[in-house]
Amino acid sequence: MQFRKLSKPALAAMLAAFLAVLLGGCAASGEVSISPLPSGERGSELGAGVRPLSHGPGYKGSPAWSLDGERISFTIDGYVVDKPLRGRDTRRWTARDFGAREIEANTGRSMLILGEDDESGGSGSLYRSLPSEDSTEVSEVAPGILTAEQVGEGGAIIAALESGEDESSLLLVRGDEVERTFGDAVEGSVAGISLSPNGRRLAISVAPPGEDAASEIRIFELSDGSESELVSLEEGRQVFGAPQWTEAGIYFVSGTEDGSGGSSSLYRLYRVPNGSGEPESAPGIGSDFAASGIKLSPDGSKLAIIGRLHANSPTNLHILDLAADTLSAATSSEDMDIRNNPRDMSWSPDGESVAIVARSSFSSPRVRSAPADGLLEEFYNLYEVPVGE
Amino acid sequence: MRGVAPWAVGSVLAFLVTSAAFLLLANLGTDPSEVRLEQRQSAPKSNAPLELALDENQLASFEAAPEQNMSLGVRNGGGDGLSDVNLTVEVYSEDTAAPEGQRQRKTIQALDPGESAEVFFDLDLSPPEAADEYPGPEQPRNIVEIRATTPGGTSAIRTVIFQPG
Repeated sequence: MQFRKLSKPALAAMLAAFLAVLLGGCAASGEVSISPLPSGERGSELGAGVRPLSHGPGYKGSPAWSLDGERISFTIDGYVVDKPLRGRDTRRWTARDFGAREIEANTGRSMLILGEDDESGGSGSLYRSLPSEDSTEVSEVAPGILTAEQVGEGGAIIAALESGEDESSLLLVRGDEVERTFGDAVEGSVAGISLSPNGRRLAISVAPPGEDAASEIRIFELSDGSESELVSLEEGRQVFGAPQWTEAGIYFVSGTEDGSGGSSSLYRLYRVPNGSGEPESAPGIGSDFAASGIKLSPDGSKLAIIGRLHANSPTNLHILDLAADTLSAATSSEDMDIRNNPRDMSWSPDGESVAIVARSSFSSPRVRSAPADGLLEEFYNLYEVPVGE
Repeated sequence: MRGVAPWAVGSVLAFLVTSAAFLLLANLGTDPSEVRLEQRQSAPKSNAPLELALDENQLASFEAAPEQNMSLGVRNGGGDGLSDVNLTVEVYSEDTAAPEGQRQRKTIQALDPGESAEVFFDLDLSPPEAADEYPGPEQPRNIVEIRATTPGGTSAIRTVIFQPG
């Protein structure tokens, strides 16, 4: 069988027509066949790709991912719940009147939770929660806990205990046991803890005796409990949140409280390079950047920062690549109120996402055509922000 | 075999013209079909005839106090008459650990097509008793949820979120 070759113009016309139909078909099918995204997959006011992880009324905070990254827990109005990352089936872990402040560790099967102390003050009690179908009972692990930080991947934490007047002790807690106490008591009140990359030392922010706010950063040797001063801030300045010990040095946020209630615009991000005792402005973020909450990624390569590029720009989540000293915005909010407490920010175990807490700002009553339980931005809710490459 | 190529070209062109015609028709219907999809998913058919109207200026004038008189406009936007339109107004705190709020209920006996009615509710927008102990950064917001339903399944909802006083 023989076929005659088509002439070049005929071939070109056919090809052009075919491509036109193909491209037209793609465009048209994109417009007619895309159904509305289910709730949870729409972009939010925080930017494209940001997924809500909770909904409805209630003040949510302290997100904590399970070790496998499949579930996320959080506090809501003083109690603790968790839910599957992609589902809405919420499970309550404590009584509603529990008074939870923060979730310190979440293995997926148990949690360490800092709750209210009967004796009011800066400290709380550390509890372990092991929920069953019909019980939300918790067991007290240690009272008088000032702060804690998860260390390693097994759900263990290092906690600071208020061991006396203006004294703190550092403890390793695993499961429902205080496994060991490190060295002697530290003078002052420990406000933040960060483990060194080699796991042998801690950077701790401390409120010196007689002071309420942390104004010193010290290095604490886990092997023998010795400590040395790294940074002592001038009077009126304080460390906000826990320092973050990275391969490139120790990062911390510091500033002064102004008379109008402590504008975060006055807070700046600093770094103490390895081998130096001198804080410098953190490289890569710009001189006008106002930082508040910071949190190191699980692999130590990135720093999540809640902050503003300059005093008049909106608050957003930014990611600082510590190797390249480059900053990128992970959210693009114009007017969302993103919680800047470092406790309200949590990296996923794979380092691909950061959970944050935010709501929209409005001054006059807001009317919506949906039940409150289905609303998102009107209340503080959790959002998953993708930050992978 | 010399005659095969023109036939093939003709067939392909006929196919392309037909495809283009179908795509043109599909494109003509793009916008309405998207809207219809959205409506089917987010609002059942029965929602359309009942409309609720709130005076946003009035809402903005409310104080964080009891006895805030709210006017609610209810309109039958459908083509059939509605009977026994039940209105439920629930006031509760954003604080999910707080006790349940207050609920009021009123009924409109009948609404003809196009007819409107105005109904008044007294809202208690006082801060909750334990508002000072709320763990959030400010006192919890008050929520007013308004539902209108009929025995026939027609319904409408409005939710108002008030800033703390």
